[in-house]
Amino acid sequence: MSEADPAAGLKALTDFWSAQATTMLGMQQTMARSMAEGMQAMVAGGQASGSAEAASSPELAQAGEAMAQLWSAATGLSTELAGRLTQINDGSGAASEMLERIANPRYWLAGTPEMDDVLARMVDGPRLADLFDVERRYGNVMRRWTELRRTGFEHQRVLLESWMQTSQKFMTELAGRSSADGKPLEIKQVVALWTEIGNRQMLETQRSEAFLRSQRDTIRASTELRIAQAELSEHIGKQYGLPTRTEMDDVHRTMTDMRRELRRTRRELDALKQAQSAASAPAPAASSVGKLPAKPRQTAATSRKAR
Amino acid sequence: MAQPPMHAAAASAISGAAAMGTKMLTGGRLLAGLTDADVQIATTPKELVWQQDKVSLFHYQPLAEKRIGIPVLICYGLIGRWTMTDLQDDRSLVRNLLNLGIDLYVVDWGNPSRADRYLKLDDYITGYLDGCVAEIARRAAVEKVNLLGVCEGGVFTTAFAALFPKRVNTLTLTITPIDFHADMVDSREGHGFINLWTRSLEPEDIDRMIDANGNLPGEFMGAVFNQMTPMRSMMKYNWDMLEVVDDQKRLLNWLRMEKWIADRPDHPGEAAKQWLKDLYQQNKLIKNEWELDGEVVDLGHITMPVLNVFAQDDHIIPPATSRALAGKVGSSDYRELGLPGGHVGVFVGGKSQKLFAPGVAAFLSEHDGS
Repeated sequence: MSEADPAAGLKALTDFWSAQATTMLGMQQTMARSMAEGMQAMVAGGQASGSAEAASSPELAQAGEAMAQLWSAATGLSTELAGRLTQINDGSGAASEMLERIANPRYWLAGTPEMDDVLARMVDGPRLADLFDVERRYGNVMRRWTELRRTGFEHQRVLLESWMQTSQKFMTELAGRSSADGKPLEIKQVVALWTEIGNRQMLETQRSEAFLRSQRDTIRASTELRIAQAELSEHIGKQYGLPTRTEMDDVHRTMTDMRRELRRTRRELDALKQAQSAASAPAPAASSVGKLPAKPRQTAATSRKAR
Repeated sequence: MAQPPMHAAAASAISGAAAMGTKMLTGGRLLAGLTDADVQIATTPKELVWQQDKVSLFHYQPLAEKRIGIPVLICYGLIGRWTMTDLQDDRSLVRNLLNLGIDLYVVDWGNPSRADRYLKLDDYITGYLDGCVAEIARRAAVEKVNLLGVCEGGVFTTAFAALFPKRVNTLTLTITPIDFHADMVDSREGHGFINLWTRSLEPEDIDRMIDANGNLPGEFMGAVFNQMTPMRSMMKYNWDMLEVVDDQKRLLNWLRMEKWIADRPDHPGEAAKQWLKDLYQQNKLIKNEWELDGEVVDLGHITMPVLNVFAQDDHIIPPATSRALAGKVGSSDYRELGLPGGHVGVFVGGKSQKLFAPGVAAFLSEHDGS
């Protein structure tokens, strides 16, 4: 390792954490956008009856409304929690950031459901919003997208309820521990307490039927969106003579089958050669345990017969 | 000169902030001086001896006089990579085994891409693993080799040993699931979430998910693992890192682990369907109902000595799911070795380091005969 400017090192460290914060912020913004879009979809649902999108909009609206109500309750709790934690803050940057994370339910939503983030990236397919000549397929993609948002709301609601329960337990526990010796807990102890309570609560939540169901629904919705995107993409690709995913899959399947066949043929050939060699060789001398005697190698192709 | 009185809480806050600043400054210096070369894993010298498609077989250079004649093949699974067994010099099962005079090989499955989506577990077990075993046997002029399977790789070696018992001298399993539903028998908080999560899906969900994505993305499985330790996953890049950032040794250890975690290859699609549906959902292995290449994997055909190593605090592969093998194999020599630590800790933890390799070496030595 080389000597380096300490200031540059500190900047690298700060940048590293800032990048994490930016990612978190981005996810919060995405969620806020989704909520706004959900509300718009709710309004549009009443006006655009008969369309495929409208069919799922009432459910989306319901999910969005439930989420909004819960969010309102969580905001009140967050304010109370933030007030309690202010007394513990030692003023250092990292400590302040950590306490803010504890008090803000958005970090819980953005940080814990990494699965949602991964799913979102899994469904990030080609952006085809400007292709208006394939309305039916495009409409299907939109319908699937709407369904994904709806399931996303449901899943977020389960997580937000979990955060609220954690916060309640945390505040109760914090009050109990603070009063023992009259001094507030140090920040390390506070974070450890939050981690312990949060971990227990999340593990409980993740094993609940509500969590498993909402996550399963989100996985299904994201899968169907991905498939709808692929179908749209293939439709466009065919029109322009581009190779499609299905065609590539056909090639890969054929290639895998041929490799499999090649392996089998090689093994059989190898076994045959060894059998011929053994037949023409003089009788082997007594060999030590584990040493290879002069006989055909047992392979996938030959061993079952020997068994 | 007398100092003005200072409020105790304010003094504590200032002191805390100063300590934090010093820690960050030191951490900043350390991080700025690090390059990728400083965070190397799996550095024990080895040579490539066989290759087929994306699969590579490596032979380790000896570090001590050979004491066990029959070679050992380490077989990791397709979720994660074998580099965990050789994370760093002082936390390396590989080095420990080599130091005990074991002739050691390891198979690397490569980086499956969408082009590999039709590969099945049959291909890995009766194809590539078969090729590795044949090559090792040829090089060492033996007819049997010792297999050491890890996690999903343990299932591979179990199946291989059941299908080709005459080619396996001993079978050592580490943190290997055998009964995928045994998490319900011995339910501990936070343990066996993958088992539960997989069962919450329908088989059709898995088919559709694989069809949509081609493979089971490595980052997807990473996210599932992170769900098992939710708060730790949330805090590790800020709070946890802060804990170690000013201590070079601890920081490097932490970064090496992160490097291993980040290396999550995609799991070939058809093989993933088998893994999740046949095993996690339908639990076919323990029932002797699992078929590979048209042959039933019958655990009763495992007639060679078996050493089953499990981690006592394994939240990913709960001990009960591994220990279910007892009484199912055809071998009269079946033993268990329970080690302190979790799924990964068993490979890198200080306590298990002292027990793991010596335990395996003693078992192998007893059945060497060369």
